[in-house]
Amino acid sequence: MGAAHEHLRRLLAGGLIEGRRPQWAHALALLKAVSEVRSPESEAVLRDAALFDGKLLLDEEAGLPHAMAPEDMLRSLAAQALAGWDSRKHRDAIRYASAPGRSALVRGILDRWR
Amino acid sequence: MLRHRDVRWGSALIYEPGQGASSAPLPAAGPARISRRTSLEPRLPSLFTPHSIAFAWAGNRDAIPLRSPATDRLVGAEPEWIAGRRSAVAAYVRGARPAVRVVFARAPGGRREVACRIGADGAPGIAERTVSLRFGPDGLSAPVTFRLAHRLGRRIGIARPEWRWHATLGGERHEIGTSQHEICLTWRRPLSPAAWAEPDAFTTDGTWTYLPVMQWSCQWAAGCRNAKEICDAMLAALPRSGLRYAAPAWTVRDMLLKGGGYCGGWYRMFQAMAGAQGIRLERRAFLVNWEVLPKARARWCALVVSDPGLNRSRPAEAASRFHDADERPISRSPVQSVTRHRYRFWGQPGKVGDGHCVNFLRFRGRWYLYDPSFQSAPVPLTRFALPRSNPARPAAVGRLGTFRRDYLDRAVDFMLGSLPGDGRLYETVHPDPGQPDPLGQRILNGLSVETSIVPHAGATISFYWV
Repeated sequence: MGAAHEHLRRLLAGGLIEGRRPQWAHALALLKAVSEVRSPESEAVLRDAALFDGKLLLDEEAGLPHAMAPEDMLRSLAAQALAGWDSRKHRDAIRYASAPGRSALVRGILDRWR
Repeated sequence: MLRHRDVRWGSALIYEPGQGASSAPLPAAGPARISRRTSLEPRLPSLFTPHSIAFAWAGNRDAIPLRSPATDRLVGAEPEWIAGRRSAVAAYVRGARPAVRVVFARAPGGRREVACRIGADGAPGIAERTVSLRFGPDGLSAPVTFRLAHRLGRRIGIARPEWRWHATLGGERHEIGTSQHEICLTWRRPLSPAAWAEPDAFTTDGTWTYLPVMQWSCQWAAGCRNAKEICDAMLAALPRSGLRYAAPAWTVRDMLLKGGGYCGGWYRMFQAMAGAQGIRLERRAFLVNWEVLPKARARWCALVVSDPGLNRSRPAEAASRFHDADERPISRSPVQSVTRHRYRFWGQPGKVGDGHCVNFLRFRGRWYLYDPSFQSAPVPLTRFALPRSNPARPAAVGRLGTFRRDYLDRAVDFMLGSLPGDGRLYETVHPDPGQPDPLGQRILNGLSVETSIVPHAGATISFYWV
């Protein structure tokens, strides 16, 4: 498993990375790196991200996403990556990320794969 | 373009974030206080006194259900007025002539059964009616329904009637107490919260509204006569809410509890305020389309905004190094490198990422853009059609009438890309997660191109609209 996978898992577990709270841009970089190459490890981590139901511990002073909560954005980006690889295989995770009760914006983004 | 930071108001909240809203109101900033302590001052010893007055009891369709953000309970779950203990807000559509339910308390030594006529003076008062009161072991009567003597005012606003209750018994009139109330009067019946609550977890409660949202919208839109006047007045008065931009909240309730939110919350909040007055506002997010181009170039990676946003003096994002280009052609523009606090609305290559969220009102055949996060005046748009939600295909802003000229070029200071400028490539670089300490690395901004100089021809700026 690559460092990005490990760091993303740690972020999802609510842990610090190298003793610090990650910034939102770091979370984006991790997602981007994990999404770049399809592999069983990447699919597993992205499924965990799409199915994430906790709260991310981020360095809020560095800036947060504006249109939706970081957790919604994380689920949305992970689900988009999974949908790009195999939307049928990962439909459960995509549906979870865009379930009623979640952000309408995320539902709007993921609607075509539900 | 008028921005919130150009307008100075008081900053007190009607309710402090996280505080109860239904029974412990604080003074609001503005010309009038929202609530007063209710007194009960019988002038003569009486046989009974008003004990409680309910406005929005379950099943009363006249009253608009209000909800406390602190508890998520309906304000009318218990009587809005309880003698010496509670004086909460009620809401109706302007011009309503509602009914109220009153429970009376037997005075010490008073009779257990009384037949009399009861009413209240005020503006408007309570229509007098004959009642038979029977007091239980707890000293309280069953609820008695009274109707207002006249309609409430026909203007949007907040009415504060004082009712001087009297009972006529054996030909003798007794003053039995005074109650003071605060009644919000809306323009029209509020719209369903389903549009902004996402989801509405309280569908059985009808078209409820959060209490502070109702108070603010009625106070700020007082006297307005149409949908646009109301939305304009509310937008201009938003700083008076005390809520600010960039608190970590993206829903209406969270914003009320945390004292503000990001644009994903603000466009819902403004929609909720308009909805409280029965006005349908559209909302849209325009999300960054990060196109990866040959030779390590990318267009665009983020929106960059310098405006600190509502009730802020500085953007709530750590300063970073920007490389600004403000001359055409961009590739030969001089580049000024500066360290600034600016918001970056990050996209993600090939995916639908972050962006900005705004509201739209269609009024008399024209679209108006409302940006509650950053601006205090609406932007009239011409040759504009509201983009349909389409996360699969970005829409070029050049096809949206004057959206770019009249709004985007002024509201979004820079478009951040990985582009050449001044003879070199300015690349946007996120930390390399493959490194053992990715958090130790800085995020590098590419070239921040002043939005207004981005060429208009072709799809040079496009967004996903959702």
